[in-house]
Amino acid sequence: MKVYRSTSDFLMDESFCRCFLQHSEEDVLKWKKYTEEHPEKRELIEKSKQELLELYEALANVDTEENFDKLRQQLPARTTGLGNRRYYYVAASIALFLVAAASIWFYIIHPKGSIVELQYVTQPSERKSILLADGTRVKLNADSRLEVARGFGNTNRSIKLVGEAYLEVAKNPDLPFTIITNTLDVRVLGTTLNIRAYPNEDITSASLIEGSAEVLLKNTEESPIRLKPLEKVVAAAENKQLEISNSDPQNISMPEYTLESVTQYDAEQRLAETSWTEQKLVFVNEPLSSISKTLERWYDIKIVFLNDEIKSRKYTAAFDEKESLQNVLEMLRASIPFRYGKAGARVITITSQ
Amino acid sequence: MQINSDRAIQENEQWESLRRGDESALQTLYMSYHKHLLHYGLRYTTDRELLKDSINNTFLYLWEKRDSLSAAKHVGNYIFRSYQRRLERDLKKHKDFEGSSSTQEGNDFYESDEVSFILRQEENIRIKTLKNAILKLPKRQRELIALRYYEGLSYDEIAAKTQLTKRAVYNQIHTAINSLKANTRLQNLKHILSIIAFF
Repeated sequence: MKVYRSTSDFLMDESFCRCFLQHSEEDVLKWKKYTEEHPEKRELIEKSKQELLELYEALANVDTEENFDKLRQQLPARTTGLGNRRYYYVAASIALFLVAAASIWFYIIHPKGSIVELQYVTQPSERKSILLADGTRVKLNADSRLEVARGFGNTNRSIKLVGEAYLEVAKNPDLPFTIITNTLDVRVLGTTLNIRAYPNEDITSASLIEGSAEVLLKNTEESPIRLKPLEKVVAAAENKQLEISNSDPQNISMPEYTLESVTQYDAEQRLAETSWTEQKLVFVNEPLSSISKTLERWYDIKIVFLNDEIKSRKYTAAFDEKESLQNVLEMLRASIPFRYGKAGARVITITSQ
Repeated sequence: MQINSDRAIQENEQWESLRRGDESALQTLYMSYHKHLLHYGLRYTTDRELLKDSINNTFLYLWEKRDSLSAAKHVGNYIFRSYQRRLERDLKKHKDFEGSSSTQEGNDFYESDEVSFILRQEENIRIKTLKNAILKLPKRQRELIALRYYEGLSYDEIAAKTQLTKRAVYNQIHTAINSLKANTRLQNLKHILSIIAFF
């Protein structure tokens, strides 16, 4: 018989696995005998068995979650949060009223005078996939708004974005596609890109996945920035300043923007910027203040910091979006500790330790 | 057979939420039962994709028919019976239904020998850490350890299926196991430290 020194030695053994996973009689007897003959290995065997069963359980959970993702694609639109169907009708009629009010607002009294043809809005913890008239596909992240101008697809291809969107822009060399945000405009012909422009965040970023794009910063004299694939522009939102890492404190001239490369967060080179489109929450070296904004949007909660020290601490973590909020907080504080508590139905407080 | 009554009460609550159209209740029940339904189905076929589709069709049916579902006294039995019927139909379509359906009819889920599996424990932090480590493995290694430890194939069977040499399969799995260990040990240590720091 082989010599078994570590739990790995046992885990790599076919007979050992058959004994504890398939309970095959022959192998069960074999390992019973082995344990009797090697009482000094009893503890190691027990530990290996535990590891084996945990591995099975974890793999089963991965399989279950992947299969549920498939089911979720087949389900009709999300209705969570509206537990009772009667409320659904009430909500629907309120929504109808709001839509009517909104159309009046946009057709008649919209500032700047531009006429908005259509708008798509997502609530916290809601996402939408949209097919625009020109064939462009948009995934709209939670708590965002996308406005499409009248004549879109014919005389123009302009959209206005507040929040975050992932766009696969249909090719049309004759009619450039423009995405307008508060901080910057992006002009493309046919590309894939992700734009994040939440009004309650300090920065606005545009990440180019493929193709080419031109970014024009507002309120500056800068000439347009040309983006290459896998590059991203990060610009300070209005009245905000960029935090520059490794900056020279003597150098006080604040840049208007930085040009970075997008972040690949795993071995398969998936991108942190677009991870939300794959139902993942990925944070790479991101301050807790900014992570909390994403969590607020996804879990439809409010996070209150009771003191400021912890806000700027940076975390790197990846979660499945189905993860409960509590687990996400637990995993985060496992790397840099903080305390959290509940201060109301949808309010979480965070305190440094 | 003793049934965890807390669990039964919780499941009845989930069932009621499902009937009211709560998608998260559907998900909770799905997470509780997927593994056991799959395990049951493997008696009849080794085609896991077919079984997983049957499971999804069962839950899709429950979701679409939620308005007309009656109150279930025993949620597990209800789900299990719907799945049995669905599976029988799906297997017939694939014409490789080995077992006889009549011997299985009326087979109560809780009275069957599946019961030892049924009391699903909450996914604890160790399993979660391990799961996250698995998701970070290179695709090939992840596939191989799933075949080895989840589907229970031998090294020879995996080699035949993936067209790798047995040596390569063994080495890749060995590498995967070691990196899982290194990753989870680190994470668990961090977790323990954070608990210590808390007090």
